[in-house]
Amino acid sequence: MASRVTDWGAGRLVAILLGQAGAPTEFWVALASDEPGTGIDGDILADLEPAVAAGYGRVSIATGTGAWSDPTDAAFSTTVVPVSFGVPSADWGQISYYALCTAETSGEVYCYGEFDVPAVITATFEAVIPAGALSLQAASLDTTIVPA
Amino acid sequence: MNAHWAPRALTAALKYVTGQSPDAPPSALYAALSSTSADPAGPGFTELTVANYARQPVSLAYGSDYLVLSSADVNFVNLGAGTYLGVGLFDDATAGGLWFWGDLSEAVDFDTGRTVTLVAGLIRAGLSG
Repeated sequence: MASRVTDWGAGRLVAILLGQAGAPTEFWVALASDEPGTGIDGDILADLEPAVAAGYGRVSIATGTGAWSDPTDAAFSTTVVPVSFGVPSADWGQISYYALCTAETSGEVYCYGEFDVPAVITATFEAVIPAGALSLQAASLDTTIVPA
Repeated sequence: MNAHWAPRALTAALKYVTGQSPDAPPSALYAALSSTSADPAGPGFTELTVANYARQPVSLAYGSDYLVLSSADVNFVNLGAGTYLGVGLFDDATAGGLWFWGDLSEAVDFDTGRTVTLVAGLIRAGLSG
């Protein structure tokens, strides 16, 4: 369930905190076969996602208390609703990671995380991420500054 | 100085990005000095009480992937004698809550009449996964 903010996501959280960027109204959840990494963007991520031709597409999840847990005292927020990707038309292979993106295709990536248990997604079975399995978390980055 | 996000700031950032907070981000932050470590997980922020001391507003600047909190010098002018080790940024000039904090590598003593300056860029904080 643990997740990591990307480089872009870290900057975006800072900008939102300072009121220099608006908060999103939705995230697009992506599935990935391998670790995206903190330098990822939505275009590079696409190489790790299942094929669209196999019936895959990113799924929108709203922001708000109806979809996300209260991060107070936790330093992370998890989904409180399941996320369904529908029934694949062909095998998607092993899925080990997820990512929260800004757009249905391409775009930027806020964060990514590794599923506790990787799953092999096969055709005809609905692919569902259960409630609580996605998280958005961040930690303070230590920056050593030498006074001038 | 290592600058850290206090739990209040991390929680606020996550609430904003997940659409759970109707509150606006803080309109201003104020620098404060502590005679002890500013770590909120420690014994607590012990704000100076020396003569002429008051929290000072901090100018904020934003970098693409990090947060520069102090973009101009912050001056505590003509203080009474004292010692400081920790620096905190609060959301109110006199009360409020701690958003960011950092400690010097060692405590600094200053004499009566001195001005303590936190130079521009001294305090900055970022996020990691």
